[in-house]
Amino acid sequence: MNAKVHSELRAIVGDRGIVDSPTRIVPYESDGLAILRQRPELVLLPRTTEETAACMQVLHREGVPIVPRGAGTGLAGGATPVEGGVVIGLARMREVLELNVEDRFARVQAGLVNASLTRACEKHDLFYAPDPSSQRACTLGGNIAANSGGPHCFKYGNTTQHVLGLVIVTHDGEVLELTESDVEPLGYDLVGLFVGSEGTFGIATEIKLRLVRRPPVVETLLAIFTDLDSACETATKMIARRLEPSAIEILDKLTIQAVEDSVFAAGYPREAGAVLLTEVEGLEEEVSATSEDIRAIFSECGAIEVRTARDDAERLSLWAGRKGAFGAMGRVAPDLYVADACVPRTKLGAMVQQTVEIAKELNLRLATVFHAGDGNLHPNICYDRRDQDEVRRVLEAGRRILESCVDAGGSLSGEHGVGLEKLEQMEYQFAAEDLATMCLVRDVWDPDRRLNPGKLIPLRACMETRAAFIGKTPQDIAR
Amino acid sequence: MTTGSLTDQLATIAGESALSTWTEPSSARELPLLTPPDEESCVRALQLATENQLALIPIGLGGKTSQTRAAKRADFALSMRGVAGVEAYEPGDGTVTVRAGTTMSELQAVVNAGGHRLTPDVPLPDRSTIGGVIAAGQSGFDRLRFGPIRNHVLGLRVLLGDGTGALTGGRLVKNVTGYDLQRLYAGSRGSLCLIVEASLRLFPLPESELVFTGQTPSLELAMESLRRAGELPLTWDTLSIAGQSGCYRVLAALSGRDAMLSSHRSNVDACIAELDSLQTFEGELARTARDSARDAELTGGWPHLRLLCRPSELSRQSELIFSALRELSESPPRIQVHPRIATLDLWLSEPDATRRSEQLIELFEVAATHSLHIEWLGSQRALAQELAASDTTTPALRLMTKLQSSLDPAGVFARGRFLGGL
Ligand SMILES: Cc1cc2nc3c(=O)[nH]c(=O)nc-3n(C[C@H](O)[C@H](O)[C@H](O)COP(=O)(O)OP(=O)(O)OC[C@H]3O[C@@H](n4cnc5c(N)ncnc54)[C@H](O)[C@@H]3O)c2cc1C
Ligand SMILES: Cc1cc2nc3c(=O)[nH]c(=O)nc-3n(C[C@H](O)[C@H](O)[C@H](O)COP(=O)(O)OP(=O)(O)OC[C@H]3O[C@@H](n4cnc5c(N)ncnc54)[C@H](O)[C@@H]3O)c2cc1C
Repeated sequence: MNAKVHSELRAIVGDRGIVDSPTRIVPYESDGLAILRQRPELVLLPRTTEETAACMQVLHREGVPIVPRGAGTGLAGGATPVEGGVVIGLARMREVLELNVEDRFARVQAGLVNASLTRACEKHDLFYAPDPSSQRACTLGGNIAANSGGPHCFKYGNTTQHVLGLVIVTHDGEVLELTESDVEPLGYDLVGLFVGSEGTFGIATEIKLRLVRRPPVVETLLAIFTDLDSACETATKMIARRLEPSAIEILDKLTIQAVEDSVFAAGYPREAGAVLLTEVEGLEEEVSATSEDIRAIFSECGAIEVRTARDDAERLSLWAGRKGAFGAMGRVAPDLYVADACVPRTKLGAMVQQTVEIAKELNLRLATVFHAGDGNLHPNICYDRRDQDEVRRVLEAGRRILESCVDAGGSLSGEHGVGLEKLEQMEYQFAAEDLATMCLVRDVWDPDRRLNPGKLIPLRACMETRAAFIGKTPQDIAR
Repeated sequence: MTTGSLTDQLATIAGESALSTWTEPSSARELPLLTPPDEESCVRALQLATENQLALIPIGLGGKTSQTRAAKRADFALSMRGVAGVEAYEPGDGTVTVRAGTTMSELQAVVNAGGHRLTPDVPLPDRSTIGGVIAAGQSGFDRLRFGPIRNHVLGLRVLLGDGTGALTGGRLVKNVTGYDLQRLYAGSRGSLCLIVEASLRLFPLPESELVFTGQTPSLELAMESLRRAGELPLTWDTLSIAGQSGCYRVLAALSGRDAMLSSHRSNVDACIAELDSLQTFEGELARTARDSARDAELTGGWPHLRLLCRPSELSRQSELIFSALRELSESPPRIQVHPRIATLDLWLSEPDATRRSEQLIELFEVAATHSLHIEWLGSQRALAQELAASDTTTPALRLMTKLQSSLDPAGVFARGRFLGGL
């Protein structure tokens, strides 16, 4: 990019909206998957949809790759500018534009931090349901792009079920307003299609989100087990008996110990082999009926103790342990590889066991903490990136874990997305035709393939699509 | 290709017995109808269409095709009813994978036996296929509890225009791998692909059900009763009002734990106490009351018009429509309202189709003046043409058109049946 383009962009976003100094640009080299890094040419931090659109128009004219970024807490390398170009960060777009209590929705700028939305509406007894553990840092735009989940998404559904409308800036700087109807889309469901597109379809600048009423009664239960198997068996039985708590989370021994050694200490018993954290919400009578059924399963599966949070403070403390688990792991090893995969809930125990075996075989330390209710595993591998051999083993374990989940009828990601990390494995889960169809759709949103290039779909698959559809060889297209 | 040689060709796919005729409601044009017995025959039909530049209309049982506009061009229809059956039901996981032609009743029977409940709860489930319901993006009587169907479609297997099969999503309750193309296909009304198989999330059958019904001559009282009920901290399955000037029937349906329902019954009674002919149904009777209320309105066919808005705007916006209608017609419309979802369905009482079309066109003008979002649900040809002409080209519509030409470059799926010529 030449100096003229540079100053054109500066004129749009102002001096505070541009990051180009070698030191200030470092944080934009990667997201939470710090193994993979690449320096962008420039970072732009627009304040409005109009500024974002103006920047995108210039970058379109210049043919520059664009990487959208929220808070950079992603764990799949989604916001890492692998092919250089410009990072467009939404961090300065943090306004709540409208809070409609009667109709229970909010309109926000995409850079608003997830937890800020719930804070903004809690005095009206409303909350925003998707609650990723990173909710105090991650942005709602990032959540949209990743279709993020969280413990309570077991009951309330992932982000996609909460998005009522979007304003999107497309690859060429056009503003696409998808906010006409909350009830049914007009034509195709472009909003639903955009959610989970990991920054490859456009930049979401404004979001309309559904808010949920606070339940009158919430009971949080912590069941303590001597081993991880029994905790998994409990979760599987809860699903099979069709019980409907709002969250079912499991933490294994190593995670418990890390949490208890950290500022997130929640009073989990250190000697436990695993704990299962569950929450039941609703009216008094349904909470007590469901919680009684759950306690029966706890005792069937050999829980050695069951604790009940007696007040909000205890409840928050039990959750602080779960939500701080990834952070707490920093005490165990300098680096943490957070895997994310899903399996059918009938296969939870067997798959967790398999991850343990893979880690053992490769001589790695595994700490497991996961959304058991949704079958969403997070086997976390503790390592030190300075040890090259360990890094190799970590990557191998990651690959083998993902592939065994797919073999068991599962998928590569439950909430973190494909990003850069799982690009190659997409061909393990999907057939060439499936990927080719995804490429066709991507090319409609971004015909020049400049939006978050190198993510989500392996280029090989895309080249084959083009070849199939326009009768050229992949080599022709590569040229 | 002449009609004769087309039917000959279609007959080679699955024999004469798979061929019949079907009339497209919005054009009254009669088309050959192929009902392939399996997916392989569907692929062959699509290849035949691609090779001969034919356009086809995919259908289930055709129940909702009166809501689509007339195709610009259509050579034959293809019903998925022959490709039916449950592929996999995992009671322990709460998911089901089913072929598109399975009727909602057939599917419901299978999952109910395993303790699960199927959403959406659509009218006339024995005359609706799951493929048709997903392709129509149809919501059910239980939308207040479960939301729209697109939230619960976990994955789809589709055939593109040239017969290529493509999978999106999976059979998992949580999954973000790859684009959510199932969101694009659900509600695409047969204009992008042929849905052959769907994986769905299921919900537990409730321990108990309660249905409260009542009547009143006053629409305001009906609305106010349900507003009060909606404010209770209960998760409602349905809150609905149906009827015509002089008599509105109110229905409120709840399901869940036994203890909760018994303890809150009196709170609901208090909210609706001013209605007449109050009745409360439990268990099997509750289900029957709900099902018959769900299907009752359809005896006169699909509603002509639907207003969609925000709950807080519903009364004001409905009144704008009602007062415009009072100018146009002596007799009031029949209506169905879901106040918390904020939809109003209208059946105009004008028996003459031409005059009805004129009234509808007037109502669209009123809607445009007041920025109301209304959808046309009937099959009046004049209105369809009028609407097609008035579709404005927005950036969103341009993108949708590009998606369509990219996924179906040969135009195998008949165009012009959906919004903006799609
Ligand atoms: C400690 C920790 C705990 C976590 N727990 C969870 C969890 O429980 N559940 C969960 O789902 N995830 C979790 N994550 C992952 C991460 O927080 C989520 O993926 C989150 O949604 C990312 O938001 P972000 O604002 O940081 O986005 P980024 O990391 O900046 O970006 C994520 C992706 O979205 C794109 N993007 C960002 N903003 C936009 C926009 N406005 N328009 C278009 N594309 C955009 C980026 O290009 C990138 O592909 C966790 C991460 C950490 C570090
Ligand atoms: C007389 C009558 C009145 C009705 N009124 C109402 C009503 O008011 N409200 C209501 O909610 N329900 C109503 N229904 C129920 C409704 O017809 C069906 O639930 C629903 O339309 C699905 O039916 P179907 O399987 O026949 O799909 P169809 O009506 O055949 O198809 C629906 C749409 O999906 C497309 N399609 C169908 N199958 C596929 C496929 N496999 N792949 C791709 N595209 C496909 C079609 O092209 C069409 O656009 C009514 C039914 C009847 C018979």
